[in-house]
Amino acid sequence: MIPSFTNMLSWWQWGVIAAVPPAVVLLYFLKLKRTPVEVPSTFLWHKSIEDLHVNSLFQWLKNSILLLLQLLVLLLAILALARPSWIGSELDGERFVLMIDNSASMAAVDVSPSRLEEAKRRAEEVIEGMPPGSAAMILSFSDSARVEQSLTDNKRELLRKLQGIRQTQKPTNLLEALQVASGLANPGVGVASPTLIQKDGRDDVQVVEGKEATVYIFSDGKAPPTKNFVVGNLKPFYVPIGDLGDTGTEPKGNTAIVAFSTKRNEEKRTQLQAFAQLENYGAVSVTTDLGLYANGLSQPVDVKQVSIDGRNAETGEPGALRVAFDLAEFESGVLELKIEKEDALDVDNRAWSPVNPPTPINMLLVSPGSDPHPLKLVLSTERAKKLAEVHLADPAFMETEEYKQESAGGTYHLIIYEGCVPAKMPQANTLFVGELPNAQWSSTGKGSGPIVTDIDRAHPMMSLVDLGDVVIGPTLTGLKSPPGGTVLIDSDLGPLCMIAPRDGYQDAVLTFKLVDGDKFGTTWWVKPSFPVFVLNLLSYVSGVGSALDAGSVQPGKTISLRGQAAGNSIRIKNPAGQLESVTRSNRNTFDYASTDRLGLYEVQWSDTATQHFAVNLFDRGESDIRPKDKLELGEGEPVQGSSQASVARKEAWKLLLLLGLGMLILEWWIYNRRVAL
Amino acid sequence: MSTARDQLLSPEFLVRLEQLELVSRKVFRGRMKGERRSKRRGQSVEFADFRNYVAGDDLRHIDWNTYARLDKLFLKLFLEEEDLHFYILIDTSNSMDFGNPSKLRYAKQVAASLGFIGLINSDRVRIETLNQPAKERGPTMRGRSSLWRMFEHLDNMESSGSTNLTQGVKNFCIRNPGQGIVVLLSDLMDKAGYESALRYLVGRSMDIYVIHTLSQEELDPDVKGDLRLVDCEDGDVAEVTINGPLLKRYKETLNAFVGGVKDYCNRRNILYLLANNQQPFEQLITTYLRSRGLVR
Repeated sequence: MIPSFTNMLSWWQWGVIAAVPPAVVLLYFLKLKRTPVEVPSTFLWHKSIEDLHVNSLFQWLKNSILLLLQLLVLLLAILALARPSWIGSELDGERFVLMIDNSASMAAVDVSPSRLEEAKRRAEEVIEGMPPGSAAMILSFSDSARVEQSLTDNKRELLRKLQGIRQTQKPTNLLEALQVASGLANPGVGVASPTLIQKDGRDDVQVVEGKEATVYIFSDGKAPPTKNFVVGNLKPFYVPIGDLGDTGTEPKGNTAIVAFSTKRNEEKRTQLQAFAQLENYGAVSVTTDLGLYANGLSQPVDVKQVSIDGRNAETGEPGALRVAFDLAEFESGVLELKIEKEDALDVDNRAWSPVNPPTPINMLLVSPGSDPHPLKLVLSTERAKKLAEVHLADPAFMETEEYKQESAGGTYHLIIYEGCVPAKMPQANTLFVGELPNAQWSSTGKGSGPIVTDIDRAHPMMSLVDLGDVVIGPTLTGLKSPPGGTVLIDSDLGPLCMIAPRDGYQDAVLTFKLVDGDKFGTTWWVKPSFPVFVLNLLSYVSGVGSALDAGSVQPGKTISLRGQAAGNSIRIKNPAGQLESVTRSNRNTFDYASTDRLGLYEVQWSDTATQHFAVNLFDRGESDIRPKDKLELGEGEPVQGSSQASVARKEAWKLLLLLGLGMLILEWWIYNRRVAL
Repeated sequence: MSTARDQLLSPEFLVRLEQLELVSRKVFRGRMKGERRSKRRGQSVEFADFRNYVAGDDLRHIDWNTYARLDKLFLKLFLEEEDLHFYILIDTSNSMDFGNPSKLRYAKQVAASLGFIGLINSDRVRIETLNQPAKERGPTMRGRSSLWRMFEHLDNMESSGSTNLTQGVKNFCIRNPGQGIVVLLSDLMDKAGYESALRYLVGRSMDIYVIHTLSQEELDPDVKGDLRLVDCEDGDVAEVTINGPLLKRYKETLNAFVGGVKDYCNRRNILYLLANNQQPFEQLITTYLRSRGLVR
């Protein structure tokens, strides 16, 4: 550790300083004036000091110790002026924000014992290296940020809180964490938040210049880029955690289940098909057993040996594999898929899918009615009866008190208004046929004979729906939905069918009438695609209604449950077996947010009726565990990862001056001791 | 009596001194008839010996009773009583002028006391200094009538010059060929050493007393710091930084010096006594010298 010097003085100042030590020596010898004292005889004195002269060098040193000490003090002072410093272990800065990523990918064991533990260890080093008087705060972040310790200079407390950070199974959201850090690092200082940035990039908020805070991000970088973030007075420092592959050894690979769902065989309703998508993020291909477990039994109902290719060296795309399982006679229950081979990240090796018994939804068809009525025909089929309990009514019913109560009370899951519009939108999903629900929807006029140009087949309602040879009569043109709407069927005259959300419900609009007076408005109803569309609608609504057939939610996300609860509260049992009571919200749903754990959750609607939903990771970002070597924060240059913390140069001048002071005290003491008797 | 003498000895102390007498460890031949037993045969009442009569002997000394019994002439011899030679040798060098009271004054007081004892006991008292030239003899005093002269002589002594112990003693020996008691009052601070000086005295077979007179400043110096010590006699300079360790060393040297003198004296049958000027001289005379046997 060779110190470097910082020259603070000009050459002539150094010259003056260099002249001081010789001057001191000169003065010392000139100054030493002994007081003459007459004594009877110097005989005994000479004899006394006689043997002291034996070791003359030592005696000289002993006699000149004060001079030597003075010179030493001077030397130390001059050395202090030269400002020697060296790279120390202390960090540079006064405020530190330690952001610890505890998202699912941090559970990876490519570094021992795990990434989170490694991050804690690195953070500990930073805390230990904090200069005196500096303060730090600790944030943990996954899909949301959590302040583990607010700004404090108490290192012990910081270390304690750091150790208290627990692993989560949630995805990563760095932006929120950064905003929290930015806000808390400078309390009381206005920090430009992304929403305050004008479109032209100008920041019209007066931002008070706050103290600069050094932000250490201990993460594997598996977070979406935070383009909107304004770094401001934060000094970001990214410490990548994980095996970057720079040690020469190939990082541990990871295989993940990125999708898992079940679907009943359309032909044979008792048959169930389970689909899974597997991805391999490692460089080499992986062969593993894939076990399918039913209802929590330890014996798998099916096992497949699969081989997943490694990552494509050119494109960087992970190797992918789709697997399907056929399950005969599986009415309801839960399925768990498990990759049997161990890899770096454990949490994405399991996936769950509940198979809930189909529950018929409660629906109301409000229609003037005419025979043969296409909708009534479809809804009277066996298949439709399994899916829905259909109530029929004419528009006059909407005036009754019963309707008002039922529509406002959420009795129906779906209400189809054909050729009529309710005065007030009901607490239910709706389909409007040939009419617009309310003022938020609009059309430019009326037209006829639209030519279907596009169908959104990705939408569950449009699955297997073909309108190729369908003739459509009069229709509303230029349909526009409230914000968030999706065009399901598009034509040259504008959308023919759209769906838009409304307070947790969905409103769908079909712009043309099926029956126009005594004529049919379209030939669709005689085509096979019409019943398919209606049944899709019922299935979709039942899925939307319960959110259970959707199968899976991501950890940390709120799930809104709507179903046949008798009271105002239901109970949900999480995978750990803990029961939580959830009360009905004012939107007539049961909102459950404690989806932190992966696994199956049991919804207890009543004492007898239970259903399941699953929380699966299904996050390619988390499963692709290769740590990023840089982090994109805001618009600026990406923050390059560095394992070296930013350290302050250790200045030695204070120490030197203290030493000098010590020497001065020593000199004073020696001087006093010499003359003391 | 003069004021000067008052300063030296108080009348009360003189009264006490009158009861004392000098004691010699040796028997010397005196010069005049005195009160002390002499080596000579003479005319006292104390029988000493018989000897054969030879022609020319004083017939008055023949022991006629023996002649009657033995028919032979024997002379009856008696011990002679003579006076005692009592010398006091005072060091009057500049170094003796230190201390309060000065070592010289202290020496004078001791000398006056001893001289007084000698005079009242009809001893021949001679008080001389080391600085005295070889041929200049000091006054010989005898009898109570010489008291006045002795005090005056002591008063006239002034400190001057440097110590040359050997030369001083040598001169003394030349001046005074006779034997007797000699009391040397000196600080013995001669850089040439004290041994040769004492050797002169020893060579004369005298009854020697050395009263080593040192001041409190020498025994326990009260100085500190960076000093230039100047010798008052020869102007010699010692540059010292006096601190605890050096003072300790000084005392060790002093003890070694004193011990050396004492040892030297003991081996040569010289009676040595260390006198501190802070110690009352009366006590020195009546207690220490008495216990050592110089006075009785």
